[in-house]
Amino acid sequence: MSKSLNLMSLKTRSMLLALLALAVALPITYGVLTATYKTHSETQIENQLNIQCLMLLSEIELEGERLLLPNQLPISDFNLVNSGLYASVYDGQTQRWSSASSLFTQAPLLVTNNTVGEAKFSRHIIAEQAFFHYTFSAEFYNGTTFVPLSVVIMQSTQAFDIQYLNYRDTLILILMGLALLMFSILSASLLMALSPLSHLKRNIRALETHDIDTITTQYPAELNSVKVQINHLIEAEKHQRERYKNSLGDLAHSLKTPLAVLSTMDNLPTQAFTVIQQLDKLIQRQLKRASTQINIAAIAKHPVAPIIEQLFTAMKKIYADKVLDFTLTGDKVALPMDTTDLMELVGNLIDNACKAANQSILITLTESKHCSHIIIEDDGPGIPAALRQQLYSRGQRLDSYTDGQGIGLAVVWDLISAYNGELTIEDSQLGGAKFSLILPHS
Amino acid sequence: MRILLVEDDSQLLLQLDNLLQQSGYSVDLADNGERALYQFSEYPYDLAIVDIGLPKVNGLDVIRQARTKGIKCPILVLTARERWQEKVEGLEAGADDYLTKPFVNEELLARCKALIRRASNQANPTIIKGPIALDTVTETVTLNEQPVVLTGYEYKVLEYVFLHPTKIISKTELTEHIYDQDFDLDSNVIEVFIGRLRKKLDTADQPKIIETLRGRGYRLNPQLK
Repeated sequence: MSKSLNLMSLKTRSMLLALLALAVALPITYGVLTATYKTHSETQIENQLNIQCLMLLSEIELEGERLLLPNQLPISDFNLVNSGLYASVYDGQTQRWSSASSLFTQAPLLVTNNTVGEAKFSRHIIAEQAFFHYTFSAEFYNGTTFVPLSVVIMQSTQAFDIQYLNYRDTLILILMGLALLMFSILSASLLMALSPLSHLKRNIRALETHDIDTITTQYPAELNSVKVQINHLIEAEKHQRERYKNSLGDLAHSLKTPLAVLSTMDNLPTQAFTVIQQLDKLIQRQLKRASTQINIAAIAKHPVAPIIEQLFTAMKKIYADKVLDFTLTGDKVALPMDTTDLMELVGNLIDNACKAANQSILITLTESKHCSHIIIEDDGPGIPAALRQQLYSRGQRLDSYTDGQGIGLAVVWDLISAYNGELTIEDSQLGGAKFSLILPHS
Repeated sequence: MRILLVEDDSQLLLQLDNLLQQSGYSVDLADNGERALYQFSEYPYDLAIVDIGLPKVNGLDVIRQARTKGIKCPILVLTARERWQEKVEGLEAGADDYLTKPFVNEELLARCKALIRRASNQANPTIIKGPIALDTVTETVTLNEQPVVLTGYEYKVLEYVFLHPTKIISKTELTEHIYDQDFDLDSNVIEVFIGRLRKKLDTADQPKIIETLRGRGYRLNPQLK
């Protein structure tokens, strides 16, 4: 349960909480408001009945055994038949008087045990009709003695009930409207509060897809520290990578200078030189493999064309004696690769092409939905099918060091495998070899 | 030909110094970047061999600063770093070629020769002027296809003149390019070398190989094609 709660999205959680809050708050509000309304209205009715009772009491006159009350009372509902407001005067259990309104109405019940001076207000159902019932007893002097008389007033609850129902319906409508409004406000504020989070999420996604290499957006204080931490991690990783690369460079330098001392010694036996070459290849290969950048979370996409242009310029210097014609065509391609790796990969292939070419080297860049293609062609002698097969199988056996193409192609295979790429070797229309590199975007 | 060799490993520095001297080059040595920059500013070189991993000022900065100061001599970079990025960096800094350690002596010498030749716009390793052919690879000279025996210094002088065919070369310049830095510049030995070369190479039916421009220096005879 708690696990599934943890996995629930923030939005769902907040929405559920908001709904729960509304589900608790609204019935309570409803209950309190209706109860208060009822109590308040009933108190009002009690007061009203009390006033009417006092009015009746003031009208009562006793002359011996005769009870005198005017035919027309000041409150008109007492005079109208079936008005819903009835009054009676009792002497003990004997009804002495009843209002004109109660002419066709069943006799109201007397509330017994009414002590003199005491008022009672209650609700009764008489003959399937609900009434407010108010009694008050008082003693009247009939000239000789005090006679206790009870005044009973009954008012139909119909009007009250209708009003109450109306109130309730209105209240429900208002509360429902209010709930809707509150829910909308809550949702809106939730969306507003969560929008930086969604933005951060998009940015992290962009980091993963290598569209950006650092988060620059300004966030609210709570999220800014997260952003700073993420950037810090990326930066630290980058520095670590730099340091690692530099250490490898230094290691190469300190391993290879002594080898250079050995290899340039006078009268070096041929066997010794073979050993030096083996050592050199081993060092080269392992250092290059160690510095291949894989599984890096945040490498921004690098455009490929400038790197190829740089290599072209370098190759023109290196192969200055060979007048080579370099052409780069195709789409604007960008790849999420470490620039050193990208340059190493393409550099080795262009270098091979330069060695093989008579005059022309053509590079074509194309981009499809999930991958980029770098096609390197030359007008040299091409690669015979048998050798091609050897080059492929060497690509699979990454630990083999015996290669005729120098360390170059072995490193190319290492990099292709590290970046989940593919390499095919075909005949070029220029007459030479055509190396097609396919590199995925993520 | 005068070469500046910049390498911080003392043993390699000495070995390469020997190798280059044996091959007929005048070699100046520097074992750090600062020293290299000083040498660059003091002497005109025909080639510089610069190791990238240098103390004080690293090799790339040495090359950049030298190029900024207008030093035009070809530069061969020695590097232990194998990656293309480092090679490209070196070439972009102003180097003309690179050689990765370890290397064999023959490879280094071949690169040196090619760079020097390329710097004087000689695409072909054999330079032919009139009846004389100078092979920069084998360091041999023929006159009318007959081999001519030259001493090391004589060859150096002739090669320098052949590689700068339109230039008036002063005695000081020649001295600087064929001798090490500690050589006494007042010597008249250059005149002796020129004299010997004329004796060995001039023929009656051809114009003189090397002209003397009084008070200015020597020049390859422009009439030689």
